Amino acid sequence: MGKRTIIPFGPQHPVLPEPIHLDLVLEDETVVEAIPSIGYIHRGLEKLCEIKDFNQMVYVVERICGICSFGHGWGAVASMEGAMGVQVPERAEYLRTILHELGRVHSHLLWLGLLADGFGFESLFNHCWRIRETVLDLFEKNTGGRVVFSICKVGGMRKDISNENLKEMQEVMNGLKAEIKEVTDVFINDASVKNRMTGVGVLTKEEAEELCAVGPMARASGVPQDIRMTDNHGVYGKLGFEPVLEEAGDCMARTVVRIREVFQSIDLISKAIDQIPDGPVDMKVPNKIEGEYITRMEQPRGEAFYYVKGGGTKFLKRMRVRTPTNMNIPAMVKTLAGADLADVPMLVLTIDPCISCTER
Amino acid sequence: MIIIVVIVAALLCLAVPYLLGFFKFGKTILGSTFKKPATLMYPVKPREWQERTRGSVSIDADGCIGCGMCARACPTNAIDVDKKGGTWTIQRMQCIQCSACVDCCPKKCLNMENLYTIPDVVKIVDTVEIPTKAAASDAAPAGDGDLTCDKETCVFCGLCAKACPADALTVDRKEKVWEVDKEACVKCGACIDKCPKKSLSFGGAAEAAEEAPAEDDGPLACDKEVCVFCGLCAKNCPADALTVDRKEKVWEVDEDSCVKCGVCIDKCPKKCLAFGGAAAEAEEAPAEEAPAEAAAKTIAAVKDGECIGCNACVNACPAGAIPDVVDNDWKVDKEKCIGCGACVDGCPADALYMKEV
Amino acid sequence: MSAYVTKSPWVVHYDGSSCNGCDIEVLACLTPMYDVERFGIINCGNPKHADVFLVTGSVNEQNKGIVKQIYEQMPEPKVVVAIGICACSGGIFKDCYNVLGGVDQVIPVDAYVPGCAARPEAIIDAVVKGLGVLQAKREAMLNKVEKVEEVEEVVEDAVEEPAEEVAEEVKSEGGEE
Repeated sequence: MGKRTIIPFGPQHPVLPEPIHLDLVLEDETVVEAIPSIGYIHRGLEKLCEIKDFNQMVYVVERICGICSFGHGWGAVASMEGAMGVQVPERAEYLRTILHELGRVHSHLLWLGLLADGFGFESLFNHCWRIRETVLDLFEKNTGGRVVFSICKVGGMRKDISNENLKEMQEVMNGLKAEIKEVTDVFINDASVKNRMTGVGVLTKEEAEELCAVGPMARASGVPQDIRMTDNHGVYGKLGFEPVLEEAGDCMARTVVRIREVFQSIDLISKAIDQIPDGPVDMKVPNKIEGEYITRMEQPRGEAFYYVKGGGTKFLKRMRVRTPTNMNIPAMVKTLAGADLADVPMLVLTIDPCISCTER
Repeated sequence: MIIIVVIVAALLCLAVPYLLGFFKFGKTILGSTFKKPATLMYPVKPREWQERTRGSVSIDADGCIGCGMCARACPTNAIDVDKKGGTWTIQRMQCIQCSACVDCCPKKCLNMENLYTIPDVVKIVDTVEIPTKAAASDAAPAGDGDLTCDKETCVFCGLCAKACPADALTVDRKEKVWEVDKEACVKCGACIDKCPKKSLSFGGAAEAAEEAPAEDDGPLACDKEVCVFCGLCAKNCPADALTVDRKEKVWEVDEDSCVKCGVCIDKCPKKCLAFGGAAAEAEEAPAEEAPAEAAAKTIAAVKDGECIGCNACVNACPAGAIPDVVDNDWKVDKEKCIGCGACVDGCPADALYMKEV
Repeated sequence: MSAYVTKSPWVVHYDGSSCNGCDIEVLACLTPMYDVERFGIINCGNPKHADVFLVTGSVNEQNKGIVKQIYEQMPEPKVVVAIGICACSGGIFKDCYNVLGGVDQVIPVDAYVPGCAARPEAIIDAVVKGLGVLQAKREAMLNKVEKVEEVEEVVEDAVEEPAEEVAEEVKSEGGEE
């Protein structure tokens, strides 16, 4: 047994856009144990539901995370609608699904860029983010915001997206496929990238199930776990959804899962735009919430839970969000044990950590 | 010779690793060397905004009535409205551009501009003067006290509660209860405008109750000769006392429920309703049982480019004459239109009017 | 101290307790579409190399010390830019129990960027504004040093003259390099 050293990692660290602190216990160059400590960006958002009414709460929930902001907004809105017992118009459901999938494309491209930056491939990072800007332009055109859209509300959507704009969105996204393929092929084929990722941080299927990993992390280990296929949220049932699975469970597999999901999302968007019915996107809802409701939602990072409890007023009694990164941290700690110090940034990045989701 | 050797060597240096699986990105990088840069060149070239881009909130101060709905809807409490002092204040460094205020403004005097607030070395607070009550005396009833109701004239119809944007009023017809939540009341005056009996006022001094459109000297009656059974009276009845069936040509009043507020008389497009059985005599025109046959017919029409496609008229039309509005292309079935004007009343954009054909 | 600090300011970014929205916009500034490297701005991970401190998100008990520490580690002159309304005043999370308020509760802030999330254009504007402050701070520092060296004429001019000329003049005077 070598001499043990503890290396602090974060909260301010060049590869981390967000603060998380890890105490890495090292034996020579090998990590024996990683002790995470979080809480740097805890805000106490769930408590806000006591002073903001449910309409305002939607704007708050959207700001759980700026990357999957639409998904969070949808999750909260869906559970409030469930508690009220209303069924939103079909067109609104389609629009939500389209925007959510668009959000997934943007999130995964962003993550691919960060990963490239993490292993020092700066030009790849820049190209990923250049492509991502096209998606953001679509968001801005259709919703008015680049990052936070504020278009979802209890009872439907605040604004309709015209059919011409949807058609344009379909064309742009399909046109983007070739460009995305060009950069993602580098992740899959380039020898230096492969050396960096293949066989690193393996999480077996059993471990993934045992540690309750969610999202791409679980699917990369071969666990067929995707809320879009099991829970009937949005219109995924009508789009013929199949989860993306990889078996290897290493960093490469996690990357490949996300790359394939980008293309899958583009196909889902295209299909949804072909099918979208005309009609209203908004409906009147009661002015108070009663009862409890839980919604599950597949965010770009995995499964998220939204629990609301109403007390017969327009204020919620309790709101609870369980986010995917929260569930993936045990799996990350597991893969960190036994890894090389140089691989730590890769392992932390490949769970696609969203600390502001985790801590809220 | 040396140059050729150098070039060949350089090519080999690139080609061999490429074949071994390295430099897979080289092609893209080489390609983008010859492409136009993707950079938008901000700030040399100004950014082009999208129509929906949310930048910052602006106010048309003349239209503001100081009701404070925006301040209440704002999730970040960035807006302060001082009705007495006549100011509307926004903390720019607190605004999240959700445009909740823009959506809820009853006077539509707030706007979402494309341009963001320019960063500054201090926290920007913008204060705008808004007309105070005294200045806009004729726009809303005078008085600056709390909202009061003259219970002598009040018929507890509940129209005020329906019109209230802040849900501050509670009216129970059966119990004859009229209550205002003073905390919630924004003093916008919407209830006062709506009150059929003119029982409401600010400051306790209710205006003398105006006479109801017709003398309250008998039960409500309908001149069935004139009536087109459009159902607008039933729709507007605060007490749900009327039953109208257009197909069966039925018009009935439940006299126990009727509060004699006279709203139906105001709303009737054919002026065929009156209290006391004697219908207003205004209509000496030939009986219009079947309006479609009338020589001069009034139908709804749209002002060019004003339709916002909200479908409010579709729901308002008692005759089902307006098909769903697609792409703001507003149409009306001329045969079905009964000329009641319900769509004009219901249009939030004031895009509709009645025209004679 | 380099006379060219405003020609190539290096930035360090720390996420206080933001929702990521502003962070990804800060990163987007570095990517091809907005490309702040045109202005010589480089994002470096090390506060000791940085001139401009970009903070997103509000401060809380846990990260108060870290924000302060990063600020203290930066060499003078330095500029703090608060990005997004959370960093300005606490924003939508102002009423949360774990939010102390804007970054100005802990360290002095030189420029505020409104927006939720702040647009890349606004961030570029603010950094440019921050550079003006940086230049002013640098001049104030030069003044101090040069007073000791009794080169007072230059000092008085320096206050009024535009940045570039000052830089040239200081160089020709053999001032600080």
